[in-house]
Amino acid sequence: MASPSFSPIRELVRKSIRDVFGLVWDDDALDRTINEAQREYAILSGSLVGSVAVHSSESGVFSLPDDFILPVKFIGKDGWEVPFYSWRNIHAKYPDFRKVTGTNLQCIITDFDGYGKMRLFPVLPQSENVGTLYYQRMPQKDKLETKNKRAIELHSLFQAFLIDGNPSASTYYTRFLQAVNEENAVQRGMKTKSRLRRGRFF
Amino acid sequence: MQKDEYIKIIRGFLHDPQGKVFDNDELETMLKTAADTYCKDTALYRGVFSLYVDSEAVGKLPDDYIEFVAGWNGDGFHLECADVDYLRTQYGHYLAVEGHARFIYEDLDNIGQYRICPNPYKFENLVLYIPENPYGVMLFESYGTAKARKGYGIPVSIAKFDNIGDVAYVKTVSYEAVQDYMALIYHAVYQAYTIDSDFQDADKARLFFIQYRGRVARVGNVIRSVPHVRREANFF
Repeated sequence: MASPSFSPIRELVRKSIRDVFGLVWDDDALDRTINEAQREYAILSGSLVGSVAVHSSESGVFSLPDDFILPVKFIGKDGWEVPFYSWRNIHAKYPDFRKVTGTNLQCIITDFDGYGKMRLFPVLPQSENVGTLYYQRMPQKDKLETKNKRAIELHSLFQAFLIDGNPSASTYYTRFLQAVNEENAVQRGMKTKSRLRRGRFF
Repeated sequence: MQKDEYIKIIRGFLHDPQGKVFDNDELETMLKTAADTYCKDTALYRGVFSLYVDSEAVGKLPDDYIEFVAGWNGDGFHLECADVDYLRTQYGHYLAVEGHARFIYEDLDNIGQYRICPNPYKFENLVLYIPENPYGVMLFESYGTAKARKGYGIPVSIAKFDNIGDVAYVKTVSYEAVQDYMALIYHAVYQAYTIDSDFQDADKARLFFIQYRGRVARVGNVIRSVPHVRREANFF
């Protein structure tokens, strides 16, 4: 069933592809492209943030929600921020860091247990509430959560032309990326995103 | 995403809603190839297996194994991935030396198997059981593994052993388990357009492959952009 909150975007897309009466693209097909556009926008821009309470387990590993993209911040139960840390650094000091136990949370290992899982270091007593993880999240399905409607329209058009195999799809994708960069620029201006560039960029 | 939905979307991209060009089995094979490629390219999914070797220090890698991540011996110390040239510099006869595991390397004679050096066989106290009536066999209090008959889950033999180490590795997962389903769809469509047939279209194939590579690159960016994750410092 067609999502009512998508109707403004559907109209915009149909006008652009000269299909105002929906003869080529029915509502369900367009809704699928809009959902996909929102997902990609959320991944690239980090515009949506969710939170989840984290409890300790016997293995020290906790699973993340299905809409998780990447972690933003972890606030411990005492109100202090707990750092994210690569397992490679811990591994050098504690050969088998998976079995180190303790009572105070030192860090969250984000890159060892695969996507959708993180690890508390050290392993804490079971079933304790250890804090709250804030994370960039995916949008809900069939619900318009993205404020930048122009970007969603552009990505939907990109998908439409991609299905058609039309090379102008890449033009729409470039314009979509520009719209994403506008949001990123706003976030940097508000200092919610780091200005520092990481890694080798030359 | 489940198989039916995947195939419906791929057929939309291929303009083949009735399955006149590609049947479902063909598309599913492409999806499986796409999932394997995605797992290799992104190294997103991880697993752990316990080491257990025969008297020659040889063991079998899991079927879904792609790449070594980290390893530990039975005492919790590092198990390093090494090649035979390096082992020659460490031991006079690296195949014969016995002791606690320090290195793991691929068995050159048999692809899909690993070797441990030094040979820890005497420490694992390996016992193999072949149950007469395998129904309802209870599995292990300590380390062990069952060789299950394919498709039934009934063990035909059981190996019980002491801990000589374990390995974390990059693994493949099924296409249903991949969250970035569009990456798989792009790769499957790319494969369809590259098959040597009347349907072949190099330009479209390239367009979809670029989209797939973009998805893979994005995963790398997502992982790298986790704040502080690559910072080298002593916090403790």
